[in-house]
Amino acid sequence: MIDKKDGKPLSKIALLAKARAEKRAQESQTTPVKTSVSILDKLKSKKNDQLENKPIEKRKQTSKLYNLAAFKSSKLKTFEPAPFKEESKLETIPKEVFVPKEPQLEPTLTLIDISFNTSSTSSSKYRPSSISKASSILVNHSRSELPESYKRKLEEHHLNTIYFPYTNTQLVKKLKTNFNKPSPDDIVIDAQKSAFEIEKKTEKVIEKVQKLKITSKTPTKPKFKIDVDAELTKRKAKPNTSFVVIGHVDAGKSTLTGRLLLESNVVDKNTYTKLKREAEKSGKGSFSLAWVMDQTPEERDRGVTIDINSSQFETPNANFTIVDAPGHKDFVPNMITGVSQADIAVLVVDASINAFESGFNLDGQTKEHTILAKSLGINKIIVAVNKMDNVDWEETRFEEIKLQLYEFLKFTGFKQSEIQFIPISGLSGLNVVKIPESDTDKRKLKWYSGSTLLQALESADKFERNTSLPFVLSINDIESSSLEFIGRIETGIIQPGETVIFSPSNQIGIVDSLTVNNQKAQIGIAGDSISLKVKDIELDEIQIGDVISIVNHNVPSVKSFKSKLLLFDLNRPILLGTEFMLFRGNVQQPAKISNIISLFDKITGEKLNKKPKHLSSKQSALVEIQLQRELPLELFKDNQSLGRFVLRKDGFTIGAGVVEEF
Amino acid sequence: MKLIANHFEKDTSGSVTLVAEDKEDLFTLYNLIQKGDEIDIKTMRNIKKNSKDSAKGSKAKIEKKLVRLRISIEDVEFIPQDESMRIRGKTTSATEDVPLGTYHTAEIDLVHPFSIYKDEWDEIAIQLVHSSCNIESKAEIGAVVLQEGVAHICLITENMTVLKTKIERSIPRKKRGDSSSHDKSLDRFLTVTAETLIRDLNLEKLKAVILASPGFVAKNLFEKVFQIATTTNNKVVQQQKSKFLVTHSSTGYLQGLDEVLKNEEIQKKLSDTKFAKDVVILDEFFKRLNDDDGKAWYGPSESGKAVDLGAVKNLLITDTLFRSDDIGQRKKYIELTDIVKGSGGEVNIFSSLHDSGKQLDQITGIAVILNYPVYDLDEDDSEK
Repeated sequence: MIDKKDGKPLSKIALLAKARAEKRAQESQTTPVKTSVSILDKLKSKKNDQLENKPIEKRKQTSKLYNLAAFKSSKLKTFEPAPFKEESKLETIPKEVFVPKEPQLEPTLTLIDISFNTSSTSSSKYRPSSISKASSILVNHSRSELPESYKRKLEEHHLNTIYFPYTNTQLVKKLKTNFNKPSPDDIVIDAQKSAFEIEKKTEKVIEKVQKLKITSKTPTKPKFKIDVDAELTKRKAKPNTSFVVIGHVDAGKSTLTGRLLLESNVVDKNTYTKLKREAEKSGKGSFSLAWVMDQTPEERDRGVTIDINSSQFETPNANFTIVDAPGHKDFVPNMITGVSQADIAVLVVDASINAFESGFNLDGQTKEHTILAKSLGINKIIVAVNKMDNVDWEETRFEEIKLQLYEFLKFTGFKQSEIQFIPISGLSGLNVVKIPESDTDKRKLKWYSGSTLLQALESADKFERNTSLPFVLSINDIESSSLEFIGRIETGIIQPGETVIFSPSNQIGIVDSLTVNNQKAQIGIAGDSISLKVKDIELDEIQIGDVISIVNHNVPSVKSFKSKLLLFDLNRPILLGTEFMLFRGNVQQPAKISNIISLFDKITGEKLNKKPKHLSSKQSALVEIQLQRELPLELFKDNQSLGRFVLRKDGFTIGAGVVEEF
Repeated sequence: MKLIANHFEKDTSGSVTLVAEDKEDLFTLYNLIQKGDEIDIKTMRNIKKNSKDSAKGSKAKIEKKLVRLRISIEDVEFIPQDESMRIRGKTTSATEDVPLGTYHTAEIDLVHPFSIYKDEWDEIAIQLVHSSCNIESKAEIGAVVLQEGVAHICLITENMTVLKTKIERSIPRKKRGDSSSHDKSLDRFLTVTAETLIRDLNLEKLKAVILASPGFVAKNLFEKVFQIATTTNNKVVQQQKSKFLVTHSSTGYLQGLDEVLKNEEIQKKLSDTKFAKDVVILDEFFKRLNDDDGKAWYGPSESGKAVDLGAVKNLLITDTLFRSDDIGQRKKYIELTDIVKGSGGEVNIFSSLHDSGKQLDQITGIAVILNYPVYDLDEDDSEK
């Protein structure tokens, strides 16, 4: 061979060196095939750079293992100069010995693996002597496969540099086996790791089991085949409207309700006569109509309504559900339940002198009830100015009350077109159902040209029912003896035979039968107050306020959620952690604010920059609310009645809110 | 608590020997014992008996032995419901069986005396010992807050409110024409509540029993209790009739209790009890905060500034702050109380086991009511 530069023939050694250099250049481009993950990669990546840069003299001082490993790595990988003084001599050794994939080197590789094992454990740091022994074995072992000349060179070199104990083979064997085993630390670490893995596995299993539901979640088909569309159009012609009777205590709500039921023949004359006699006997003759609704001994003795009572009645044009709400301040929770079932509110006010005023002023319930009704989503209000007979049906009194209330109702947020005023007398029944017929009655109401209360209810706008949405019902009452759940359908339709799911108990059952308007029915439509009989249900886990929905639409139950809140007049600020009662429809639960996220401008609704420490009167804010236990809720945008709530504290309504985010 | 001996040095270090008498005392101790204090106590310990032939692999025998140990406290654990308290720390003196510096957990019981050694007895600590040893200041009140279907039976002591039992029953709604199932389950609910009340509250020991509910449920419960007492011929209950107070609350959940304690009528009856006063002061604070009249502030820095101004009428502070492991913090708060007392203000230390204390804890645990309005306490000094 002739060198390109000067044309001089090269010596043998020079030729070999050149070939080697070429080979190196080639190999450095293509990284060698790695036969096993070994210390070589590790050491190479860490130390090769150093090796290349450091002067050779320095390398002499490095440890035996270091030298050896570096040597091996150079052999296997790139033919880098080995860290020995006799570098040039080494190169005379036949090339093929140092080829990476050489099978002869297999033992070396495994041994290197052993040393890798030891050095990878932390314990190896503290056993330098054993490592040097191990490395000597390594060399011993590989020696046999090496060519004779190299062996000799190596021996010479070893004599100069490394001490190799040849004798104690017993120890060597022991060492070898010991290093093949995991170190005591490894055993501990592995045991710990595997322990966690088992835990994870069981956790996963537990999770899966929790997710499992025993009953199948597949929806089932209704028992009876009926034409749903036909039912819907039939229902549209004669809709089901529900209204709640609200107002200050003693305004005559129960008496008015009793009157409506009596005149629409739901209560027969005989029952009423009996009630009347009983009431007169106990000296409460004027309560006879109220007793139609107030049945418990408590209510009758004290002459106040305590709980709501809903009844159905029918006119030629419409079906009605009437909910009689209590007026006493203490029973506002029950009244809220009543409002949550209604489309329209009938606000009863007492027209008698001073009675209206006392009900309308600060402590009276007229205002609180109205605000609650509006906050809970009622948009239409009919004001029944009751006991007009006490003020001789005077127009001026009616107008006076109208004027005051009108301003207030508009302020509360009712639209002008959704407010109606009607003078009535619940006790005598004038202008409730009966239009004035006799001359005296006509004279009394000659100044009034509007409709009767019932007419007003009948002519109320028909409410759009969300029949296309999934079936959702909030349980109002449980008939434990017959497994019947009573409530009003919020959205959707339900038929016997369909599968429903309860939230939060996650129980699944099949609807056996349903009752609408006291009659067995084949379909229940949004807005209906129904009684639902469900099979295979564990009653213990179900409470009033739980939600029943169609099986493929599970209503989420949450313990904390984000909400947009509007506060009313407060006499104490709301701080983080201040406890109050949260009312969602017919459920109440202690709750608190866990985080005030942001504050909104009262008028523009824009986000304000300041982050308050507490909330005070009439502020609007985005907050996080924490409940004591899970409550079925929906986002306001998905379901209006299950997504809104009111807050009360110390017997006052302090705010209203909607669910924004879970 | 019974004080058996005390011994204080001039440098305010010293020891006190006490016997706890009730769980109320345990809570006092929980507030009193700090990290680093030393406690000398008789306690049971499992001791390994190293017999000589144990080398052959026979298990070392474990013996339970009553030993007297001196422990340097690292951790104190108190669970009000369990009425138990445990202290944990390293031993500071060696005994025959227990070497020096080994960990030990001892339970403080209501029988055996023990000594607490502190390097520094501050005023709050001494006051805690004195007030808990004063029997007259102890008053326990039973309370039932209920509404149809839910009842909470509680015990209110000087330092804590403990919920003894919660009763829940679902009561069907009345129906037109038939309310019998409603009436029946309501009656059942009242009976269960009355029976639990008689069982859970030690009426003889109590100063008063408050029954509170919206509507008439509390009144009915009152009648039910004595109806049961008459039929079962329970003389003890019958004799305690005068202790019962029937009152109004807006809800049957626990927050109703707070409302009851603010009630003037109840206040009059409980006028000399500390926690009832606390409720009123906290309420005044909240009212002022709501009015935003510049006289109510909360937070450590705001309160600190107000104290510096000498404007403080009432300093409201919870025992949580004194319980701080950071001795510097504790000292800082003690200093604040001293300054307020010195300038004629009143210091109210709230118990974190009462609802009022919990509320105060929610707003950093320290608050002040001022004598005159100051408006810019929350501004940073750097802004000025």
